[in-house]
Amino acid sequence: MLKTMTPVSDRIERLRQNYVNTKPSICYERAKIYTESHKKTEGKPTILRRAQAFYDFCAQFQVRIFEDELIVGTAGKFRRTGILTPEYSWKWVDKEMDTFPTRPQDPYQITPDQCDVVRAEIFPYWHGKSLEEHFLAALPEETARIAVDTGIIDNDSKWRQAVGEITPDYEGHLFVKGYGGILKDAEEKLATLDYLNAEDIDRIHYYQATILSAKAIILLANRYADLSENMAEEEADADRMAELLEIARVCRRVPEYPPQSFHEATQFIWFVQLGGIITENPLALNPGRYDQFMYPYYAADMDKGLLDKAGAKELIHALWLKYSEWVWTISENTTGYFAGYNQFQNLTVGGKKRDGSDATNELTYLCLEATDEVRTHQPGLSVRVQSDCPPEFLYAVSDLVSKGTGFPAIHNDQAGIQMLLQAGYEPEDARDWNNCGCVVPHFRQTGQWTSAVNVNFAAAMEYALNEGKSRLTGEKMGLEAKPLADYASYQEIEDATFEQVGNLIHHSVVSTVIAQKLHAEMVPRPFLSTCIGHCLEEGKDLSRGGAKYNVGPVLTGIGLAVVANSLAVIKKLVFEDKVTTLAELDAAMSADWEGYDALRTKALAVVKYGNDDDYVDAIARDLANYYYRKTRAYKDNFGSPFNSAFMGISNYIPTGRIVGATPCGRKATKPITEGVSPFAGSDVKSPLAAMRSSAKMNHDVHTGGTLLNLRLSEDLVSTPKGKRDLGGIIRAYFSLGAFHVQFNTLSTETLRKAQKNPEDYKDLLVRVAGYSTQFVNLSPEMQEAIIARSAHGSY
Amino acid sequence: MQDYSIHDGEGVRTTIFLAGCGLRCQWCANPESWTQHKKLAYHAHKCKGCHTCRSVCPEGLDPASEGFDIARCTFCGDCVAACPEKALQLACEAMDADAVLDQIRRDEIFFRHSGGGVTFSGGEPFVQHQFLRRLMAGCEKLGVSVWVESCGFFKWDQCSDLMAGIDHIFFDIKHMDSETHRKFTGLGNETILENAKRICAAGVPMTVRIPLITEVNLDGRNLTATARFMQEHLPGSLIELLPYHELGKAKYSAFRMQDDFHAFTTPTAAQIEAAYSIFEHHSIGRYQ
Repeated sequence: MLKTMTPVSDRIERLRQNYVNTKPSICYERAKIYTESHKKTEGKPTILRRAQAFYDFCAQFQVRIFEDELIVGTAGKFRRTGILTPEYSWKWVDKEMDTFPTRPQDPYQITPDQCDVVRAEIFPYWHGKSLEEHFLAALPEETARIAVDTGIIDNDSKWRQAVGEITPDYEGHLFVKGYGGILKDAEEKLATLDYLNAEDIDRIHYYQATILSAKAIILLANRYADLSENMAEEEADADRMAELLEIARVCRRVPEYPPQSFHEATQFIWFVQLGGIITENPLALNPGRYDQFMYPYYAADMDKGLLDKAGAKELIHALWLKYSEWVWTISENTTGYFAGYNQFQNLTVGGKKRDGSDATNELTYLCLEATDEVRTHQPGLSVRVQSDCPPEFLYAVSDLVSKGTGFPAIHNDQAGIQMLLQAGYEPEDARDWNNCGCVVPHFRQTGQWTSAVNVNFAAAMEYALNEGKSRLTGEKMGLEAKPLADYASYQEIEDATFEQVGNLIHHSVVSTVIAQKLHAEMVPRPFLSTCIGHCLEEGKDLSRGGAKYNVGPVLTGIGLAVVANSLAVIKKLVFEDKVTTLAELDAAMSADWEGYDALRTKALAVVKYGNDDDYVDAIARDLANYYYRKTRAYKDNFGSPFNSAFMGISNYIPTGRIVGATPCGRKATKPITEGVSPFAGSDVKSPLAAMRSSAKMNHDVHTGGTLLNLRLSEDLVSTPKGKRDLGGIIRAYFSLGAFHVQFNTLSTETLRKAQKNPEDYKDLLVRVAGYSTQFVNLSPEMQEAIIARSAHGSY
Repeated sequence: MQDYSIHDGEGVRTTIFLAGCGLRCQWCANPESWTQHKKLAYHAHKCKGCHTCRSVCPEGLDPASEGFDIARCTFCGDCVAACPEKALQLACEAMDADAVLDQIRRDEIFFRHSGGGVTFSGGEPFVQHQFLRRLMAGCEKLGVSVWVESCGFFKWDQCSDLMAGIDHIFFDIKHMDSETHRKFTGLGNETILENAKRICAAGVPMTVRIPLITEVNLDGRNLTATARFMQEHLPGSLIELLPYHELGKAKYSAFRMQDDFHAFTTPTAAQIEAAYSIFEHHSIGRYQ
């Protein structure tokens, strides 16, 4: 199972096996050094304290180069390492760390002895000092009760964690200046400032922190160079010795100086990533448009004969493994929303250049191939499909889809550009977008909270239908609402539901602006601010709006389809067909449908979102439009309007856990829905109908991104014709204005699961013979026939 | 109707199955499409015996029972909607041309970007030639490409005017020997071969399809005769061999047609390739 079927070098295969077979371990070194450092800097400006702590880490951490590594650097002493950042939050770690190794989702290795050290030497210092504690103290009671670990509105990744959500500007800044250049610029800027000007003081501190951060990362790189040289002296194998000497040479040069080769540029990127990890343990620290900013180095090395494709691939593989090895240390609650050790480092290829011409190049294809070859879960590979992209590119995209990895995330370039224009970007910058994290179109000179809050639409609807209360706990969580049976019309119910959504938006905003304010005060970002040229220009930290663009935080709506489906059931069964009453429906939901099988069957038979039927799709569209208008009306601490999104991740599972039965026929605590995707298994018509439904949402106004996940039968993409046809379908979908689609093709394993749990796989289409049908609707005998065929390829 | 078909012609196609066929091929994978009347399928493996169907049937029938009296069924669909296990299913429902064209209109954007279109299949699509004529007129208006899959058994005079609107036809030739043809399909092949010539003469690009079945038509003599026929009478036509499969078997029991089911043997990959080589030898291209 773990054997690679694709050509990677022996070294990469060994690295890959290590990645696949090693459980991530928590290393407390970073937390320990940061804590000791902070003890010595009390009273100093926060930004300088944070820069000093980073410097101390870079000076003190025992650096390691592991066997077979070409690209070096870890944030802890293990290859697969997670770190602790107690300045953001230590409480959840204190509570949960003993069960880190045994928790069901995303376990980490940590020994009881290590836990003891953390509790004795690290956490006591942070009592009362962490972001989490300040945030919880500042949050108004009425917001706190629905925003803290409830699943109603959830933003704990913004107060138990750093923000992340940055794309370092390699192309226009880091690769141009190198950290030596940044250091020099900061010194020059500093020389022009004066403590006597009140407004200069913050900038003085900012530049001092920048200088310290730049020195720190240069020092760290040089310590790797020293180590590599020492290891070379001891190395018996001549080839490895030469490699170690080359690693040493590279680490002497970057990131201090602009890179001069593909290898140097690759190592530069990893050092920047490492700096980001050490300082923040961030989510969504995106590589960005790798095929664009790396191409000049690739092309030059190829021209000079210094690099061949295999060599380039090996470096790409090595970098992909690096992206995958470190782990984003997160709480059990957060794992519900971001499952799978996923760090959301989004790497975007394809699309347009700044001038509007097609951007694909050889490196674009190498990235697609590499993702299939190493089969790592990172980076998150996104592609931008623009209208006149080469057919070969579209084919390569379909080909990767056919491999069944779920990659790449496929984006409509035009919609992405439109979203950025709408958010206020200059046209050239809008054309230069990359993805942030999951599916948020974004630009590398931007400060934004691209995943600020998850807003549970299904919970909002529940409050409208259940007198403002949670059906599972009976607690009042929403706005006051009348008993369900007292509503006189469908419209009244729809309005009440939207109003409850509006209330959740309000509290989401409150929770976000409080967190924003505290971030600026408590956890400025001196290192990641060095990655954005405008911060250096202005002398202003990212957390204070130093980026060229400060775009408003993104609120992600979850459960769009569940709410639309449920409202459609009420409209049809209660008010149109009159086959049930609101009172009966209310009772059925309170009973979790127990004893109401006949009514549930009727509810399930009402047309569902995802089948290209306006009856229900129009409700989803109205709700999405309402969500956009409401969200957009609020402004953040920088005066930027909030943004709406329908993203995915794994948030539809925990948000479902707190919602009772819903009129659509869903049972209590079951998952709700992600992004603009249909409810699992309810898009029974075809993938094309699901696409048409999804495209009815106005994707381009939801500037925080939209997401559609679809399952595809493997044999639809197993032949060259199937791959070409999928390309046509993608183009057609995008021509309808939609933004994103991602396909899961089916493996035998999935088909086996579908046999065991047919209820969850109702939408699974398989081609039978001249026609396609739902897999679960086939007899066991025929299912076996289909599985046999899939395993052997089509015939 | 089946959208996102990629095996019935160029690009992404929507396949429209028109019920009714004069042949009774023993290997048929779609026996519910032999006749045009409505049918109720019962998938016994899904039924949990809850008898909901019986309780909702206005005629007092029990669709899940052995003795279900299909003659009294009005095909109202109440039992299909009520069945919690989705073990019941209606087939051969009447659709009006506007409803079919509405679906085609929805899929048109996918045709446009993939070079696809509509494929009329069956049954035998020419059996419902009047309905087909209306649908094809609609497709012409929409600029949607039309492919047809035909078993070849239809009255030429009723359909000759349709040929001009067909962009490509898949045409089945099951056997060159009329008696063998009659044995396995119920009818001789004279009309079919005649129609093949006429379609070709009318200028419709053609792919001959042979459902390749070990016990029926896998012999070199028959395949050579088919190739010669194509060479002589169907200039420019391509060949596609469709190996027999048993995937239709469950349908026979679901539609209570077990008596009509016949088991055959699927040819091996090597046999399929050998069969193709006969056509290659006669300079007949392979449909890809």
